[in-house]
Amino acid sequence: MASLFSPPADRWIRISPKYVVVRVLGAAIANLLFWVPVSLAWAWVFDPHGGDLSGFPALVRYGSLVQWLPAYVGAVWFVWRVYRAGRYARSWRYAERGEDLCITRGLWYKTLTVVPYGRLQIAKVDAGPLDRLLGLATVTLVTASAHSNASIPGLPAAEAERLRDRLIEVGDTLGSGL
Amino acid sequence: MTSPYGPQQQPGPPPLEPRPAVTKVEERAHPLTPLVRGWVAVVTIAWALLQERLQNRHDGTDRLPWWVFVAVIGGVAALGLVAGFISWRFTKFIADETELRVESGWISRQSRRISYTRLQSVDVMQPLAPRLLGLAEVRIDAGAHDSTKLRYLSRRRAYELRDFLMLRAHGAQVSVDAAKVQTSDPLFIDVGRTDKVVVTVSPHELLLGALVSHDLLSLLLGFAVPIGVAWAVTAYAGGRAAEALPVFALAGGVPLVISIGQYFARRVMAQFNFTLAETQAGLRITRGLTNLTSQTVPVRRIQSIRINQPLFWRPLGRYRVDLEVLGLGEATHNESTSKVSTLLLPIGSKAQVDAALSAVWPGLRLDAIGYVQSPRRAKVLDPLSYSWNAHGLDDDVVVTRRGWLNRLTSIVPHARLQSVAAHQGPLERLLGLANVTFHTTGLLHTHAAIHIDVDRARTLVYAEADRAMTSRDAELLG
Repeated sequence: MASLFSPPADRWIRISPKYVVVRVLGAAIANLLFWVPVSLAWAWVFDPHGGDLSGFPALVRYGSLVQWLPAYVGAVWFVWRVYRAGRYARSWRYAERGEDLCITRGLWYKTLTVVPYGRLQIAKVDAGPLDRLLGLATVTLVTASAHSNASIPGLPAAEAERLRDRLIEVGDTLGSGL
Repeated sequence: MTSPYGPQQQPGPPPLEPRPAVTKVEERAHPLTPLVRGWVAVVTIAWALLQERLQNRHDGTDRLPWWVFVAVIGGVAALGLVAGFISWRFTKFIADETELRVESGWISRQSRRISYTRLQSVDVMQPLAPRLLGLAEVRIDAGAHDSTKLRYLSRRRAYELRDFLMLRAHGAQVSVDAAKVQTSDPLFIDVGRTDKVVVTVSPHELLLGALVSHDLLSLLLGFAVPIGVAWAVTAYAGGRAAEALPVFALAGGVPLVISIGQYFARRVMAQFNFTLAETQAGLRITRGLTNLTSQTVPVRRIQSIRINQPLFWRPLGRYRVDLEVLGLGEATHNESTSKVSTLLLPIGSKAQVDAALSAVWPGLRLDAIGYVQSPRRAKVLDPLSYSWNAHGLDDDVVVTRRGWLNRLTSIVPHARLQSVAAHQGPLERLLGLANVTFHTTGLLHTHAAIHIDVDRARTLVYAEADRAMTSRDAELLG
């Protein structure tokens, strides 16, 4: 049975396996910037020794559990992100099919986007500091619709540039954008 | 920024003989303009001061003699007049066979020249005060910038200019005088001699639509519930409910009356005399009781059409139709008085909807489309809208239906599709279903065939992507 997300032509092209590293490091940075300050602030507010909690119900006085709750949540979230990073990175695939580009992604919520080359207005390549460290880049296809939202992360930089140039060249020969 | 005083460089092949030095006809807005523009400021200030006075504040303002207020209002009025006069004196525009140029500004001067072929729409607005003096504002939309406003011209000149610009925008090489022949300047509706009226909406239809709507119900409930609860609490606690009742009724009643008034102004007065007409330069929508608005929608810029049927309109057999127009970014589905609206029909019967649709896309055959429903297993996910959810397509358009409280029918021409996507969540995967969304340039509307069979979804996504590239809108436009 050809499932909805099976390849349109002969096969899907996977993105670079190094994208896993970007995901893991990204999760670590998100943890540092969001969960660490939040947990520390929470722990400071709910400090069972310093703050006066006599007015709170008994549960709150089981100090450490409530005090470090956001830290646990953050840690679980981080472990989950790292655990899923490999599979999430592998879920990104793309393929060229005749006159359009197909992109699929997602684990629980799967999406398949098909962008006809003729509708392409801009093809751009972005590379953040993490990407550059690993020699990766993201290709984004911009059409006249903001809903299109078609991008492929974790491509090797050279491949990203080749894809960008190819998309624009094919797009130029085909139809108008609007 | 090119200097307006430099030599005029004509693009394209050079003319065979040097153009004779035609003296450009520079026009100004109507001399009454400063009066009208100052008027609004004067009323605002007067209203604010009056309120201050009436509120009986004991902060010293109540001891000031009345002439101070008159002096303040008079001063503001004089300032407004002077500012209005300066702005009027320094604003000029030129609209002739070769160019459209608007020059404005006193301290920092601005000159914009607009390409005729890139004009998106030209609207004529007549708010109450200018309208009483026979004046109108011309609003020219081009590019992504805010529109260029010429205010105020005499009504006749405004319509003339609009007709001329729209004809030029459609590539007709008309002279200024030739365009004038077609113009007429009726007071209440804007229908020229060569225009064909497609649909008119009568006031009692508008009133019906406004009365029978979710919006009014939620407005009433929004007031009634908090007041009722507050009253009940007071009655329960104090036991003097009879005395408390008038207080609550007054506290809630005044804002309620104001809100309802605004609601009816928006839904009935702004849409009064709604007329949809076919003109040589596109569809023309004229509406309004006190503020007359006349906008011209270029048919080629319409990206999709959506037919709405709110729950309460179902037994009445009434529909609302709105458009997605390229370039009208700020225009939402609002029904406000001054902004450009994307309503094609505020309320209408099936026959009126069909007439409006065929005015936009004469080639559209909505009834001939065979709709495909979702498989029965999708009933779990949409118990209420299952019977309505469907999708269908023909050679020119893809049509999707969904919604329960508000039944939607989205019509997207294949030629206007930007991209296509399929989505599947965990629950849908379990049931073997998927959603297919069709992306157009509009941000507000999502066009989706929801909860359809996965195999069908796969076929649909790829087939639509192909059709997007192969289809042409020539057939639809008739």
